[in-house]
Amino acid sequence: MRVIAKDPDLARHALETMWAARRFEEAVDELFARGLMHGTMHLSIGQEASATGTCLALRPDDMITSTHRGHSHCVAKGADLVRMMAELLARDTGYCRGRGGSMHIADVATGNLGANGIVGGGIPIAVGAALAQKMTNSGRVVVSFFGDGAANEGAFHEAANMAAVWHLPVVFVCENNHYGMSMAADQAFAIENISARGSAYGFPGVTVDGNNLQEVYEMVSVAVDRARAGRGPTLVENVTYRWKGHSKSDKNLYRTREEIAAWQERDPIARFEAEVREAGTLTAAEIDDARSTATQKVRNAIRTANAAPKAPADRNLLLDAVYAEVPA
Amino acid sequence: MPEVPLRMPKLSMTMEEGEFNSWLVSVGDTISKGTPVAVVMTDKVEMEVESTVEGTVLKLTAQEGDVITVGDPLGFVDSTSDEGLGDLDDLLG
Amino acid sequence: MTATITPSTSASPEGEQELREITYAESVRETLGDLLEADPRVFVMGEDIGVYGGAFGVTTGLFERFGPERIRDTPISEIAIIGAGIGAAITGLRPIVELQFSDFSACAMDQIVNQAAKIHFMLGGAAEVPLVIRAPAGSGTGAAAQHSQSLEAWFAHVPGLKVVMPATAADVKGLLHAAVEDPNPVVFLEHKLLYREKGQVPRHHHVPLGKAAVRRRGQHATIVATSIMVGKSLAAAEQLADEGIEVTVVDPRTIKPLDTETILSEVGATGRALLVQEAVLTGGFMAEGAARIAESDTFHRLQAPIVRLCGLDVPMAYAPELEKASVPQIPDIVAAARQLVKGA
Repeated sequence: MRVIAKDPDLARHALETMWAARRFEEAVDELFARGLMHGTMHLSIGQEASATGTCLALRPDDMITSTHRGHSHCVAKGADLVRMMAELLARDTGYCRGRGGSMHIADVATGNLGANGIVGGGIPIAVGAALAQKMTNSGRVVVSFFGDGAANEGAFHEAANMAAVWHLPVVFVCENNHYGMSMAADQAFAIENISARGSAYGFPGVTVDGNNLQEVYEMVSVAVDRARAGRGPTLVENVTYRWKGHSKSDKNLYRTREEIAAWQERDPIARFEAEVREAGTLTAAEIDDARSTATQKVRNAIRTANAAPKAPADRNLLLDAVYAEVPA
Repeated sequence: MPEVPLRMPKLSMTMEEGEFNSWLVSVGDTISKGTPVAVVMTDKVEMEVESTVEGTVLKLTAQEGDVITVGDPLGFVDSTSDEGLGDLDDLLG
Repeated sequence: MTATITPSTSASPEGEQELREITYAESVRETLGDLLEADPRVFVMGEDIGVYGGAFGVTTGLFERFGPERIRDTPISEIAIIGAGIGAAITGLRPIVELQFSDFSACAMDQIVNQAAKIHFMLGGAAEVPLVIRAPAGSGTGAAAQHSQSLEAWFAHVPGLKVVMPATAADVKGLLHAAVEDPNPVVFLEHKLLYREKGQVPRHHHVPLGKAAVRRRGQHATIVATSIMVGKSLAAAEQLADEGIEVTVVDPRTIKPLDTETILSEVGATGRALLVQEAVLTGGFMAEGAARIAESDTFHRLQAPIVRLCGLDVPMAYAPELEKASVPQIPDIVAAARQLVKGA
């Protein structure tokens, strides 16, 4: 098993990815605060290692389904930052041409089958995609990202069971950030670890420090190998924390500043940087360069996306967009 | 050092303006990203505004009772941070 | 524009073919078999469809022919059934998923309404969901309130879904082909009592979605009827003919997208519209039909207010007499048409 922090290329890639995710979310936070983004945003600041470690364990043609808090999944899976930003800025050049917004970004070409505005909504879809891979012997694996809240949705249970009985090549990655929306996980569950729900359906479950990039990468890799070998699903519970509220309307009344601050001390990116520095894999300058490269990419995405034309308010275009055209 | 505005943030999906209530910092204070700097009222609820930059508080222009549009400045900070995303103003032409 | 009559025993556009008398259920079964043979992407998934043969015996024999991968029994998990169908459809297969009763769509509404229907639009066209959701609908088997509904209006109200209600054994074959070929999610509602109805069915048949059929033409009134009400309306038409009342019967076949043009044309020709559905009156799809007539130029050709004859606004009762009393029967259609034409 490779140690990411000890491999210069992988370490650099991981740093750039996590910083791109972080900077992207910071940009969204600020642009939203300025009134430039519509709707609301569900930011994943603090959860970068979970998204990046997971996607590092995947092949480019493997697939993911994501959540309403999916920007970092999207970035980690190789999305185009410009098209992501353009979508949030309601531009015609966005991934969804302004029709989907934050919660419905997908990049089918890089295997991202889509974020989802319904908690748990993507889990059965991931299982269906995995079913298709098994039926066609494609060798591809599907990761289903979801949160602690989704683990209590009926959709999770039905999908988990179906994946188990059919030995489908799916990895369930539960990002337990301790809160559904405002409900603390210890109030929503009578069990200690969500990973126990794997064994409830007959497959392995493991709880991981979701802020430890290497640990996430290793556990998801094992799960992906299992899936690819036809041995069925695994539940990987990445324990992490979101720095920002559930959405932009969240006043954080359900948790304390101290708790947030304590988790910010355990910044997954800072932690990985320290590991890389200690291992001597990259110099301090190279680490800084990874960060500034990512920052520049996000800044560039803002500039480019902002300059693009808005999605046109054309009623006929909207009506035409509802149905796929029937081939002649 | 660049002078960066602290802006009235959009604190909910439908918020378009907020009523300024009070400052939690004074001119000359050193603040960092996330430091609560002011209290504003929106939808009859008091909300804290957090700083988006690191630096020294320069000017506090908003006063109690001012109704300020989302995105407009409340005050200014002499920004020291070049570690973050940077100023977005040039990108938003 | 006058549509040609498409009687229930329609000859196929593929040319003269021998017509066989088979049931609606046999027609579905035969068509599923043809689809599975012709396209390796097609598979069928649902509860008890394998060895059991389906709750209504529709898939009997298919398991033995095609095996457990392509005739795929599922746990009792409507959310997962529809969701897995969506995921498989997005990634290149052509799943035909079965809900054991259309009433159980309520268990999976998020996947049908929030996911399947909207993915193509929300993703800006980057994905398609070529999923067919088949489900038995309607009353008459004593299955009572939770197993007897006609819910097509729910689905018609969701942009992104297509909704089909085949009324004959021939049409169910033709429409199922079209539904599977369609790159959009199609809700395909088969009335339970139609499963045993026989019809003249060509071996190969294709009926496009979105095209109504004029089953019969008469000058005094136009009945627009869906699903099992088509047959009942035709029977009523025979009785009415004995009284000298000749009615047109239009079968929309697909209610979303609705062939409004044909309906307006046929209603305009007679000036009297009787809209018949099994589904309950309030908020039912015939309200949409009535609105489309009333808001068009055809309004000026109406000689009487539009009449809707629908199910009672009640959950479906268990007792057979109560069950029958809750939905339009042939005498009700006869009486309504007579009233519409003669005012008596």
